[in-house]
Amino acid sequence: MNKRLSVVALALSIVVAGLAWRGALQSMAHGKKDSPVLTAQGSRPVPPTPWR
Amino acid sequence: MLGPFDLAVWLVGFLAEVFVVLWGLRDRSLRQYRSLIVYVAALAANEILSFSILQRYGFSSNEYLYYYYYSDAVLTLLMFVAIAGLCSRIFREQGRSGRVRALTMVILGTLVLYAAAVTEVKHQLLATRFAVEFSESLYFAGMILTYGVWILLLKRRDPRLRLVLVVSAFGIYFGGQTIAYALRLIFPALSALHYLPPLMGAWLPLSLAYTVSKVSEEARIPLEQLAGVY
Repeated sequence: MNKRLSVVALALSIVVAGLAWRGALQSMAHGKKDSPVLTAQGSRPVPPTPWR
Repeated sequence: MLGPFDLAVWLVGFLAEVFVVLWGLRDRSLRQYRSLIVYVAALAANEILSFSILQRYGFSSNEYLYYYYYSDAVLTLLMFVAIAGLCSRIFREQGRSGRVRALTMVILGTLVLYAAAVTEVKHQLLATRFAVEFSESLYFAGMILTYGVWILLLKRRDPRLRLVLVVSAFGIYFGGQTIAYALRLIFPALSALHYLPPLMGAWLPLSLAYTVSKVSEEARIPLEQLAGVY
């Protein structure tokens, strides 16, 4: 069971890394600046950022 | 504009944060998680301040925007200290807590210098850009530290259920925020994605509330599960 969980966790990590990488490449291709919503803390709504 | 779903997620997250703080004051065994309780208390206080600023100036106002990112930097710092506290607790048992403290100070010092250097290079308004750069770098360092502790706990097959659940809550929180961030970059036009960061923000206090109230400090993971035998 632990092995299966490890495989699922590894697969998920690869998917997450892939998504983040693809997103970063796309944003670079469009000359868009990253928004700092990655650091969002708490459950308050993220304000619309002028630099996005 | 904010809809009922935004406000409901906000309220649920806030109530969970208040619950964790009150439980932390009541339960003496949670004194070992002091920095974590301080972080959650800061989150709760910040939700009240954010709400009052939003009520007064509006969701799209500069006041809310600036408050959001400055308070975000302070909260990220407190979160980093909370995660470093968890690290310190694990290393203390091996008599290495001094090293963790030194490492924490080195990471903080490096990140302050890095954020100041990036701000200087980009020639942007010092205060604003510094808060964002510092927050992003510290968040990343906190994430690496969490995954490091997570791997350490798994490798050592640590049976302390509460500690494992607290670290796992942070691990899932960081993973979820990364997915939300990546999806927003890929599909910027999809408005439904703006719910994801607050949802992940609510996940952390909710999972902590469950852990502190339902799992005692003495709870241990059954040996057969640690050994992977069923």
